[in-house]
Order: sequence, then C-alpha cells, then structure tokens
Amino acid sequence: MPANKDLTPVYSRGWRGGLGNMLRGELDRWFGTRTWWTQALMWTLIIDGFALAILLQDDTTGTPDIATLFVLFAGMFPSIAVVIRAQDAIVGEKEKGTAAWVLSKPVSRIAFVLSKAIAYALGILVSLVLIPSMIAFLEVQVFGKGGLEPGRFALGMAMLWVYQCFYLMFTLMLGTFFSARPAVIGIPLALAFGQQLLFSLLPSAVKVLPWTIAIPFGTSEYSIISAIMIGRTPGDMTPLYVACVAIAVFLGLGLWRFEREEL
Amino acid sequence: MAGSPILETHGLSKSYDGTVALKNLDLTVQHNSIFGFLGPNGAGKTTTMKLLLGLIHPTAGGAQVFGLDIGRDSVEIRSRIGYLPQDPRFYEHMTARETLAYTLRFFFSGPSALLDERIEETLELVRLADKADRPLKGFSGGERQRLGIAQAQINYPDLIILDEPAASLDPLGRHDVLEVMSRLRKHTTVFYSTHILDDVQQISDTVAILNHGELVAYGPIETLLAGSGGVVFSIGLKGDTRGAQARVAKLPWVDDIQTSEKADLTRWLVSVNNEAAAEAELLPAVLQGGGVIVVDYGRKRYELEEVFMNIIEGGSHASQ
Repeated sequence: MPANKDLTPVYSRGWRGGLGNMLRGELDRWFGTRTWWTQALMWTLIIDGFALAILLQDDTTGTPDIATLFVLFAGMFPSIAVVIRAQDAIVGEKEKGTAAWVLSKPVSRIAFVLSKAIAYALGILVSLVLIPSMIAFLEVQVFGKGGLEPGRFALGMAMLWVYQCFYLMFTLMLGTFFSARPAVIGIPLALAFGQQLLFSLLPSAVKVLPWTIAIPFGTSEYSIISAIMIGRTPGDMTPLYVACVAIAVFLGLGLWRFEREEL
Repeated sequence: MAGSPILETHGLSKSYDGTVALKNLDLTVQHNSIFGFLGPNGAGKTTTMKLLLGLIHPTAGGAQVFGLDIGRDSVEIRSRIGYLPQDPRFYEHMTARETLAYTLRFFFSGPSALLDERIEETLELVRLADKADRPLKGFSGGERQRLGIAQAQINYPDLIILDEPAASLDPLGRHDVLEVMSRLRKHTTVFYSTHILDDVQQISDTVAILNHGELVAYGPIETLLAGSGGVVFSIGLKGDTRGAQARVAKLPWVDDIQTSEKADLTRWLVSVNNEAAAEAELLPAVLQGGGVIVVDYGRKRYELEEVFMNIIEGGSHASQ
C-alpha cells in the first residue's frame, strides 16, 4: 500500500481547511448528477414554454411585455426551487449526520458553509438563470419582435441571479440557526410571496425588500430587471443594492452561527 | 514524540442546559496503544469523542491531542485523525469508492494512481471491493460499518477514534475489526468505545470506565482485572476441607474465605490483605494438616464484565 510519504498532502488550514475538496464535492453533487439538467429543463419548460405560448398565440405582444412577463416568472417561481434545494444544504446534513462526519475531517466550519454557498450559487446561475434566460432571448428574437440588446439582457440576467442568491443565502443562513426544516423552508417562502401584503401595511418596505427587482409593483409598468433588459430607465434601484448587501450579511451571519453549532 | 502522550484531557466537562454529560475527565493516552472506553449508554463516551474532534465545545476544561489544543487547533488535529462515528452516515448519492476518494482527498491531493491504489487496497481490507461501485443507498448496516472503518483509517492517521466499531457486525465482521485494530497498533494509536467487554479484554492496553459522565475506573487492563476486588486467591480442593479452612481463617492476613461446592470439588476464594505473606504462606497453610488435595491454585483473574458490573452497579471507584 502506498505510504503517506509517497502521497502529496493537502496543507490548507484555518478557514480554508477542506474548502477545495468540499467545493469539488458540492459542485459534483449539482453538475455531476442529473440535478443541473433536470432543473434547467423544468424551468425552461415552465417559463420559456409559457412565454413561447404567448408569442405564438398573440403576435402583437411587444418585446417589453414579454420581457416583463419572462422576468416575473423567472424571478418568482424558481425562487421556490432555490429555497427547497437550499434548505437541505445544511439542515439536511445536520439531520442525516453527514455534517458531523464531514466535520470530523480537516474541514473548517467556514469552508463547509462557503462551499455550499458557492456551489449552489453556481448551480442556480446555470440551471435557473442562464439556460432559461438564453432560451427566452432566442424566443423573443425568433418568434417575437426581437429588439433585445445582448449586453443589457446579460446585465438583467446578472441581476436575476442576485435576486435568486438573496433567497439562497437567506435560506442557508436560516439553516444554521434552525434545526427544523419547516422554519427553514417556511420563512423564505413567506418572504418571497408575502411581500405584497407587507407593502400594504408598511409601504416603505418596498425600498428594502427584493420584490421590485423582478416583479412590477404599484404604478410601475416594469420591474428593475425588465426595465434594464428592454433599455428603459429603471425605477428606484435601492432594493437591488439592499439585496447585494443582504446577501453578504446573510452569508456572514450564517458563517458566524455555524462556527458555534454543536453536531 | 516518544514519551509524551498522544492525548491528554484536563478537567474536560460538558453540560447541556444544566444536565452534566461529562464531568472533569482527566485521561492520558499513550502512543501506539489501544485505549478502550467503556460505559453504559449515556455515560459520556460519544460526548468525549465529539469534544476531541471539535464537533461540540467543552463547558469547562480542555484537552490536547498531538500537543495541540482541541479548541484552537481543531482543523490541524483532524488532519491527523481518523474517526468512525456511531451509526456512520455518508452521502447516499456516492458509491463506496467515491466515498473513500472524497475522504482521502481531504488529506492528500495526489498522485492519482497512488490514491486509487490506496482506495483499492482499503476496499479489499474491509471486504467491500465487490460492492465498491454500488450506491450507498443499498448498503446494509454491516456494510456501512465496514465502509466506516475503511474511511477512518484510509489516511493512515496518527490517532484513530472509533465509536462502537463492532456494532452492526456479525461475528466474522467483529473478528475482522479486532484483527484490524490489533494490526493498527504498530502504526497508530487506537481510542475506541464499545459495549462488548470481551473485545476490550482481548485487545486493549488501557481501559477507562465512565458512568453518568464521570470517570469511575481507569488504568492498564491488567491492573483493573487484578485489583478491583482486592487480592484474592482461588484454590480448588478435594477432600475434607473443614480443618484446613479453620486453620487458614485464623491467619492474620486473611480477611475472608468464600466457599462453593460443585460435584466433589470445593472452591475457596481467599481474600487477603498482605499479598506477599499470602504468596509465601497460604499454600503451605492449606496443605499443613494433610487430608486435602489441591487441584488448582492461583490469583483470582477477574473477567472485565465482573469488574464492569461491580463498578457500575456498586458505584465503587478504582483508579490508576
């Protein structure tokens, strides 16, 4: 049997301990299994299928309307998938005992959470944002009235990714605070779909919650993303900036909390 | 590091919401030894192991492994440890081979051919080579346990911590585990917990017994077996033993004689308070008057089960 001296040791320690192998494992769990393409296929069929149906039925539908509809669907519904998948990332591992097994290896708590955040973010980018979005772009150019500028559309896709990452990091963070799945699933979904109700009670919340990034609200014809994609001036961009900060805060809180977790 | 222990705990304690799981544990484990950790369910064995691995945090006290602090240097410590948890859990989407590869890559990055070779030979060692490429979802409890043992020692750790390694295994599997553990002693230190006292007696150098979170017995296994009930001599006799019994009972260093009869054999258990005097004078005292035949004679050897039950049920304390 090869002796240890014949093998090349891994030296990463501190917060990076085990990060490389963990990240490889998490990416493999998404891209090395059928997860990535089943998710991509499902959301392409749902979102782009719906958009295509509208384009084929009604050839008067303008690009701004179809873009707005696409962004609304691509923002709201895949966020359900984001929350459901992300809730298993930490709570699931705690429940099954695999978190304790992995953390008995030279893996830091930070690397454990960070590897999941990165891998899930990349998986969401490819399967829930890039693939459905590129197909939507082609649909509009081929079956619709075209007019989408690739650079602006790409910027819109990036913002859509930020929107989904908000719910991803929020769910991951909750997974470090709670051990029960209902809370980790229920709270983000309540936030994702209950914001409109909250706005009627607290109108100023519209500035800080991510709703208007992907979904028009009130008198606005377009969401922030759809306005960017079709070349219009977006409304108040504050929710997008707040979402970016919130992503960092959620991740930081999750890392802080998981350092204290007892397994 | 010859001479210095591989593992030391100092007042290591853990409480959960006021319930004491572990109280003031002071232990030392020497290099290249097999240390058996015994105790009833809930005694604190798994808690101790999890504290050493940094999976939970101590309420008080501390420990050093390889001279490193378990709080500050946990990742460094774990780079030299192998661990088998009780009821091991792995990623169901992986095969046995993938699980070992994943584990090994936390410790080594290459060369790939040598990593594959080590994985292959480890699979052979635990008799999983023919199931190596099946998803773990279909594995039995015994197969998972064997995989657990494989992943615990695949990096050739300096310290291997096993929580109930023989659980879920049939007698052949248990035998294999004990054999593996005995072989590992040459290359590493084994710290393991079990309920199977026969196994501890067979292979352990040192034993610690926990009860209700406290260390109630600790020391080399020979000491534990020999000394827990005091010094007792066992003598098998034939013939009329009454005269000899009366004579021996009067000896000043004899505390007690317990007798039992089976067929034509009388068994004495003679408790003494002066071992040297007993070794020199007990047998001559028995034979002095004649009329008895001594069939066997020697120090009473306790079985670990007897020691364990005396300690746990009797609540007595014996220490090194």
